Amino acid sequence: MARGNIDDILGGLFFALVGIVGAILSSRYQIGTAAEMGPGYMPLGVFGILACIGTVIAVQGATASREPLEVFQIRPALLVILGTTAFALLLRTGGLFAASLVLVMIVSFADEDARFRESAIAGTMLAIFATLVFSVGLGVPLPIWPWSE
Amino acid sequence: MPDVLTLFFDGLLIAGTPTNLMFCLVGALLGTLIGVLPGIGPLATMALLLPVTYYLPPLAALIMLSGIYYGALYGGSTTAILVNLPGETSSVVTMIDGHAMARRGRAGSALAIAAIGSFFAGCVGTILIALFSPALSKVALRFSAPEYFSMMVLGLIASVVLAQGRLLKALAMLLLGVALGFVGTDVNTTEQRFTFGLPELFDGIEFVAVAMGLFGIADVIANLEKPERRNQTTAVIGSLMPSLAEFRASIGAIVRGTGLGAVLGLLPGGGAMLASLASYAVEKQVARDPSRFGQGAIEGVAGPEAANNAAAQLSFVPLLTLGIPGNPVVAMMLAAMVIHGIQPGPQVMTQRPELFWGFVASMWFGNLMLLIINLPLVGIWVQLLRIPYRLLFPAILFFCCVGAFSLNNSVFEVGLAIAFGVLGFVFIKLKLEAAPLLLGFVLGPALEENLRRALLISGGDWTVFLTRPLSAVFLLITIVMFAAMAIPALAKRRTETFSQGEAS
Repeated sequence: MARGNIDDILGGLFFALVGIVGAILSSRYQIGTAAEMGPGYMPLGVFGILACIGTVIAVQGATASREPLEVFQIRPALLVILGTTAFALLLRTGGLFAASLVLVMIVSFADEDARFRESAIAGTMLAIFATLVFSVGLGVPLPIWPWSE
Repeated sequence: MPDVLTLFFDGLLIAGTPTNLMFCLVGALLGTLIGVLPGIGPLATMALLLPVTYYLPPLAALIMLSGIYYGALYGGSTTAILVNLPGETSSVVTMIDGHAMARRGRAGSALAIAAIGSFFAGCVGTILIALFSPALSKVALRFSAPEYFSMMVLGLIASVVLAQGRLLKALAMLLLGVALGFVGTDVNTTEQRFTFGLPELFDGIEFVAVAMGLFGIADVIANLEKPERRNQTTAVIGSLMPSLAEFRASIGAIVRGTGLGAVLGLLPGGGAMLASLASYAVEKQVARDPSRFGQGAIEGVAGPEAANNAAAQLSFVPLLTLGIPGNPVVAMMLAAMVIHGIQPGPQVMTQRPELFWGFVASMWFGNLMLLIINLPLVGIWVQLLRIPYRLLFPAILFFCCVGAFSLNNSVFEVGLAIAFGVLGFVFIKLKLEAAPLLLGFVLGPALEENLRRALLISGGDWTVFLTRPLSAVFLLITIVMFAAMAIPALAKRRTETFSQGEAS
């Protein structure tokens, strides 16, 4: 049977990669000396240690007994990302109402029990609530309508 | 210096103004609400509300946020006892004996003891804060850069040692957090670091966006993956009056839990979760008949509930006196203070006494409110459990998005929150805990500044951290703590303590 704790291998490689890239980027800044540290001094140190720890985690993981990656479903993650991104893109141009409606209706379908009408109502209610509390109540400048900007 | 009692009394007057009382109530209600509801915790809620606090007076903001934290502890026990679900992670152990009691028809009694225990611990906790803080902040006022640096290292390593999962992974997460803190303008040279030319990053990565992503969006995605576990029947509450025997058995547990929680709360990295686990273990040890535990032993409810509330209360002390957050919840409080231009640390008590004492006194009001909110009104909160998650999670995501936008009135922060949400989900899948990352991120800039200053004064001599006695003591404790965890036997115990809480 193949060996290796996939969590540790992937996690360790991630840390090692971030550490190495970060260290390379840090070395472009002035390093300086301990007495007079430049902007690159501490980042270089931190990223360097991170790269080392990441490597150790990955190596330990590779020699550990086999433990596969936890299965994960793509649908919830994908729809949540899609819905929130749509909100971000729509807010400026379409206003809060349109953006919230789209957000709630997309992300609702991350759950299998979602119903079309229910999520449309929920989206509208949330937009009204946000307008009343944030815009009217607290004075947060939110673009409510497409023409509010 | 006027004595503590007078100051505390002044604090009661400040906290007792209608505005402050109202925000205390809002915090307590919100805390209970999200405490009762599984799937959303105090961290996500506080992150969601941080942008709002910008529009509140500083004291009201702190009062409300802290109310959410300890309110969630009260609410969490309700769900644990009645539905056998952890409303909050800190109420995991309460489920064991609390729900066993509910099955025997003693749910009301368990709820009452949990609330009374929490209330007692909250009151004692408030007094302890008032007593400890002035002394601690006096010591802290004499700290200079080397002491600060070593103390932060101690605090951060402690949070790593007490984190769940593998030590090295937690350490890597901590360093990643520190690294995220580098992004932005370097204070000493005004040079842009790791901003990739994006002007939105010149002031650094927005804390709220990170917190929302890691604890709001990521948790939603992870929760959606699990099939909904909501068809359990809610236990009948029954009489809220504990029997005399139950009451007598609880007193000792409540007092022990409060003491234990207070100590664990003070430690950096400690907090409500650890305190309740520790208290449960202690109660099992001191009980004459440990076999009763798991069958509905009232001490198993009373002790942990008192402990987690005491720990929650005392965990504010390191923030208020040293400016160092020991856990992510307190890091949220730090962010709220910074939003209002208050630099947390020993000077808060002398420069803003009304803020400090008003905040401390508000916790007493908050606990009193929570006792009333949670006991006679428990029936209302139980109804809330009928809200299906499919209606709850779009609202959480919505508030994340709106909140992130309102930070700077910019869509960039929304994108940042989404990115950290995805990252947080990957962390959950790889079993990497986000708490050390957040602490490293919050303390990173101060860590670097104090390191630079210390070495500038010493002329580049690293031994300065060892020749100054206090700094040396901090580092020694750090090394001992870290070494202890590296010893396999002890490390195994640490894992067991945590898995005990998870398995149930």
